[in-house]
Amino acid sequence: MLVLRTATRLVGRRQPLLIASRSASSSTADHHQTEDDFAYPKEGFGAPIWRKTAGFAILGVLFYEYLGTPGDNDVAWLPAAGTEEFADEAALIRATRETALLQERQLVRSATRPPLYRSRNPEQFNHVSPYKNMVGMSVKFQAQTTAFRPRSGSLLLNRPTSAIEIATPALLVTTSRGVVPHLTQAHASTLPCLQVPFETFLEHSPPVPTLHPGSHPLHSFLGFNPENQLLILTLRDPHDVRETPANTNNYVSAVTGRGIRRILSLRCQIYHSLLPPFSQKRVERSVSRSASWVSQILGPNRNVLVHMAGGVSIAARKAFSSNLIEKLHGREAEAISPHKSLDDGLVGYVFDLAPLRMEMDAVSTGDAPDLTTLLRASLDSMPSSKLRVINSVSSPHEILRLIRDVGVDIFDSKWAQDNAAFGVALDFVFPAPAFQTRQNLGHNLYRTDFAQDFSSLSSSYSPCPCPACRPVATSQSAIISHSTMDQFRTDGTPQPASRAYIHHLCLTHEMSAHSLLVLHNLAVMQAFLASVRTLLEHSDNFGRLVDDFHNAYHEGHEQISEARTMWKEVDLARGKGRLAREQDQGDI
Amino acid sequence: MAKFEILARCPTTRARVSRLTLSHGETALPTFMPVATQAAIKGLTSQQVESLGISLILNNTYHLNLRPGVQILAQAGGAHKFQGWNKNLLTDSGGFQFVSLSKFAKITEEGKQTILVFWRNCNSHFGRRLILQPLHRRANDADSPEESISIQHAIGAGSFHSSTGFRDLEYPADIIMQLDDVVPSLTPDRARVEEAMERSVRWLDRCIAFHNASGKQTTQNLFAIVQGGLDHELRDRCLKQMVERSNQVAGFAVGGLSGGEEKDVFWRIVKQCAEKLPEEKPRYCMGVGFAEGNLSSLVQAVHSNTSTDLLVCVALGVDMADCVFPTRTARFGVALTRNGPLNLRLAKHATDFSPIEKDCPCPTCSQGTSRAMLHHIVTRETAAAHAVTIHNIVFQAQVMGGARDAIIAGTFPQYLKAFFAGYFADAGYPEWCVNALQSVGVDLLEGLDPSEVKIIPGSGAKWEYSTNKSKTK
Repeated sequence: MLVLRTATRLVGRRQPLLIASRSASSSTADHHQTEDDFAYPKEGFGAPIWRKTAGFAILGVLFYEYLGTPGDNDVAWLPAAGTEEFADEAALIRATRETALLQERQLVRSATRPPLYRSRNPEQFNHVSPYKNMVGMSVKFQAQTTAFRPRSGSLLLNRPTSAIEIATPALLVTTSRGVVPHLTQAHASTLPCLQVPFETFLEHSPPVPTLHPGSHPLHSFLGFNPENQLLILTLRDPHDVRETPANTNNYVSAVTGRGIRRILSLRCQIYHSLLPPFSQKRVERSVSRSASWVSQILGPNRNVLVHMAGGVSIAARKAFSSNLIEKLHGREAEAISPHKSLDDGLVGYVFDLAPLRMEMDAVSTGDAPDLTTLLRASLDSMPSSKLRVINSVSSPHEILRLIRDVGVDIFDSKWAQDNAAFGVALDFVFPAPAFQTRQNLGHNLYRTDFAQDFSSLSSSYSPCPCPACRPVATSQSAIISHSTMDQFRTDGTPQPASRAYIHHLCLTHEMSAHSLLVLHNLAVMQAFLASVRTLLEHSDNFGRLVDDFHNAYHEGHEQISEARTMWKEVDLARGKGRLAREQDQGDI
Repeated sequence: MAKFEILARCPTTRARVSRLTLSHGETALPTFMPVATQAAIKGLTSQQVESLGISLILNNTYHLNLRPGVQILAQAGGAHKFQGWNKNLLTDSGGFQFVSLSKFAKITEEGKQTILVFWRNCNSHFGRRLILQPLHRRANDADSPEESISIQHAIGAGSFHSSTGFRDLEYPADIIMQLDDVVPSLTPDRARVEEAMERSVRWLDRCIAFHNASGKQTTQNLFAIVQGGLDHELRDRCLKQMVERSNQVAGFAVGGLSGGEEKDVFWRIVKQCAEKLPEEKPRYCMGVGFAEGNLSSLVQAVHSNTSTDLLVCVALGVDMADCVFPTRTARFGVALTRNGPLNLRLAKHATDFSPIEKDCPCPTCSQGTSRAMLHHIVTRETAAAHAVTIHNIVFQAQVMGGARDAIIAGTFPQYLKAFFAGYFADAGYPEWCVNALQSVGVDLLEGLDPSEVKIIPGSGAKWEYSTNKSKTK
């Protein structure tokens, strides 16, 4: 009713308002001679400017009402005003700058944690969760005395019909658009623990997995087995450090295949502070926001991992941790009931190293604390019984150091998968054998050295069980029969893929090269972590073995950067767009 | 020498079911052969291909000669060992690649010298999808008939010494093709086509002589390739000469087709060849259903109907056919189904949770990968290409397997009718298919209401037909 009345009043008054203002301006020319009331209308709240202001304010409030509430539909991305897509880069940068500027203006505001409120629509998370029925998860570790000792343990996820147990330190396999790059589903279904960035599914609204009718929508949609595969859902790809528009109190930016989309912050399970906050204020805001967002997604039997905010500032990291473990009272305690503090509702902590490294690079050398110090600052006051997850780890050396110095439990496999994608076959073992000289962690199979190397991918001292190194003959019953007369005999053991073969596939731009390499590299990483676990349980000299490993293998990234260059050459010569490039060059 | 037994004949059509026993096991015919141009079926491992029920694949001599080269293949112990493939392997002659890849080629009696002779008259319609290798690389290619055979020997060889001497061969390639002089099927110059045909016959003699001298005829099987373009008279002459050499070769292929010619001409040539080739040898139709033309690959991917083309060939008496179509089209996001090709990139599949085909036994469909999921990853992740490749290979093999069963049961005409009805129900039957099958006694339109059945004229209308189809879909 109010809307209508306001609208009619505004429409009805439009004509006189215009006349009044016009006469006012036209009369300014002679105001020196005559100063009458007509030329200078009396000041007051009835003046046109005030009437207009009031009208627009009311309209604004009404319009806000129509924005809709979160959770109206399955996953209600705030329509129109809330969703912005930045198609081209220039617009994106401009928008980034503008948002950043706006944020700078808000810096005056205090960085203390905003008060926590109960999420109005807690059920909305069920739609973006891997499970419609939430399941419990527990972590247990071997007896340990101090917080930062290397540790092994197991992660137990209880499902109504099954339990998944994952021994830690464990490998977290990275996916892209919901699939493990280069692997067929049959091969990917053997991986126990995977991380799924959700952002690419935001291209469709509502996201397609949320429409899946099954009881395990995300598993079923992506083709993973809920009985033995654990999925960790994140909003953003934790390895992606491209610049996105700054997050605000209510929105985070996500990169989809069709530009950038802003998501109501309530929707993300784990918040990744992606832009390195260079100013103290921004660090503080990232800290305070993350804490309030965490409160929104906590719930009974909901397994939440939280990204430990604070960047390169030890103080900020400690502040964030204390926000998490602070006992809450009154209405705030009610909001997160049955938990007493935010931390009570968490199963573990995540550290995204990709943005952290950017930040550490940005800080002048000498000032930046090292990685171990930063991680310890975050974990110092936190209970040691919770999972510690690392994203974007850069080498097995780093894995070993983080296990030794911080007691990290789960590491992502992005590094190994990148190596495979660019033609590097990993070849290392832990504990390292005694070498005469320092070895590389892998072989760049683009090198012509491998053209006539008919050995399998792994060296003799590290037999690898992957389908590339030890292919298993298909059993007769597993072969698809196409007619009644088909007869299959399985003869002999299949040949392992040789380095020469994969070298050939790499240089001919064949996808099979990368399928085989991903299988192999993931198997090498699994074997590496398996022997780490064994040694943690049965050996006292883990620290010495870590030092030995550092002496035995180069930590540098020469192999992969060399391979990347050679991959690019082949890609340009044979990959997508080759015909167009040849056309550009004209006739040979 | 290959063992070729005919197990059943269709009482109506010229189709037959047979079993071809080669040194790496048995292959049931009629069959479809996936193409592993660079010694790998795109994105899959050899074990995966085997588990799909495939027992015969094709390698391209031309490509494998360029890379990795015969020396490395020989060192590896043959192409089987090199690619870890334990089933049968066919290597083509390399002749076709000179047409499809090289616009600078001059054919001499000694073989193909890659000299800068602009060959526009012959292959201008091939447009630009040409050169694969830089010139300095191709300058070293000496493709004489002997060399082509020796390369193919090496692909299956335990050792490779020179173009004249071979040692005992442990892992022989199973079927090798003679080197033929391929001219694009639309070449207007009849004299050139005739020259190529006569040369192919002369080269066959040299290939036979070389093959026999190498002492490998016990393990490797040489196939002759019938040439003669689209000219029935030239084909007849070629057939006559090649059939005379029937006891010197293990089988025959029909070459020089699929160069963008009318389907109506295509099937008549295939029928003519299949009729005149000896009954007791396998017949191989090279490169069915995929025109190496100047159309973009995507257009071809959506507009080809390989499955039906293959069935027509089978009805005409063909036993084997190769085609890159199922694997290539998969990479563009097109899945083959009994109701026609399915373009997974279309937005209408975005929320479709059904698999590509419900009762398909392929791993992609049986594990429940939905069209929606494939839509999400297709052309963006190689995993999508793998999933659709797996489906398309199994689909094609199922179509051929179903044909074998139907021929044995004596119900092949009904099988053809049912398949064509499913495939073309909504868009109309291509006229050339109707005519081709009518010529072997199967009336696709029998029992159908003439007012409801649409017939799409064969002359130049195949693209149009498909465009309509894709619009109505």
